[in-house]
Amino acid sequence: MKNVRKYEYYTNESLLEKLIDEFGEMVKRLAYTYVKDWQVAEDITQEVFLACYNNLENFREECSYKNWIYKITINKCKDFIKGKWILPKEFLERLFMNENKRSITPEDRLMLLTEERILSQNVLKLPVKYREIIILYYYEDLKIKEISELTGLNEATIKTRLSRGKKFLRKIYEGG
Amino acid sequence: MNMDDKLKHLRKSMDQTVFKNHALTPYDKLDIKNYVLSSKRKKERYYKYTMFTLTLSVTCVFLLVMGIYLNGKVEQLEKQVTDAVQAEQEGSENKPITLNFAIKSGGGVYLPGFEISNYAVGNIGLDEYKIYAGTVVDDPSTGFLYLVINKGKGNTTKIQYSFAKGAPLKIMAIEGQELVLSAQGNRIYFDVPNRNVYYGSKRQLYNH
Repeated sequence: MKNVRKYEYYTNESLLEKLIDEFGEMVKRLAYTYVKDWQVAEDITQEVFLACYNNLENFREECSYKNWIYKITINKCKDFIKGKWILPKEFLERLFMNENKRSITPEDRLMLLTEERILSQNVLKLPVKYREIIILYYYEDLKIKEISELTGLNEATIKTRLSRGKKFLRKIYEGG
Repeated sequence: MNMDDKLKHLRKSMDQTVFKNHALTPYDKLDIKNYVLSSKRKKERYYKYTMFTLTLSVTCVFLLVMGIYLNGKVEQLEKQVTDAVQAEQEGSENKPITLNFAIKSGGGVYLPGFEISNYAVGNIGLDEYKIYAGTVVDDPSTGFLYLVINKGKGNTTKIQYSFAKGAPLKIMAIEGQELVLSAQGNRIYFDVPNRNVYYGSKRQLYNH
């Protein structure tokens, strides 16, 4: 609630600017963990803030702007994954070009081998239903209750997915 | 290996690797802002255009419906007026009137080819009627009735009725809207407004 009051006197446009400043990075990163493509993550970020701007009047102060934006981001990412978004031609071309450019340099290979990179890569390899919970819990540092509010899943399901996600991750580490 | 311990470093790991070179620059933020605002404007423009189109369509449909409705009303009104005029005309034709005509002697009146016994003169509405009765000069056994209607402004109607073996024809009296004529002891009735001739006591329609 404290977070909400902070923006009380902003106009819609300056509030948008403030929200982009504060949560833009977070939205882009969260979107990336779902779609695993930076261009798509950027597109989703734009769509998230467009949705925010269009619904600023309807924003009820039941949660913070942060959680509200999280929720919109998660929904947009899920829409994308479910195929609700029609991929623009430019995106497909970009994707195709990126595929061709993927040549790994020795430095990259060295980077790939670092512990941090392995963890990140392995987490991104998880199925999306486990990945989202792992990211929200460990990366975004949200509580089970908060994750439940954002994803619409009940707390027991989140705990189960968290546990199964870790098991899955262990399997990936073990090369399974 | 303890996954929980590993995952406690997830934030640090991802920030140093996957997210390292993908920070949101001020340029990116401006890009997002511009996208949002231009999309909003685009949406507003689209909304305005849609509203304009919708208003125009509704107006056109309204005008069309009104046009059809008024056209129907005008036709109905025209029909009512026509019916009323027709009814009035029929009424005036069918409604018996009483002629306020004068019967005058034919002496001194000259009508080429005819020898006039007498004539009736009077008005029905604004029209002046003169009805001459007599004998055809070239055929002394044939009686005639000559109707002249002067509607004014030089508009004159002339109708001649011949009656074989009906000479000399003479106007005897006026009964209602009819002239009572006599031809060699036979009665002939001339319905002035309807211009019909009847003869005999059975009042048979005379087809001249």
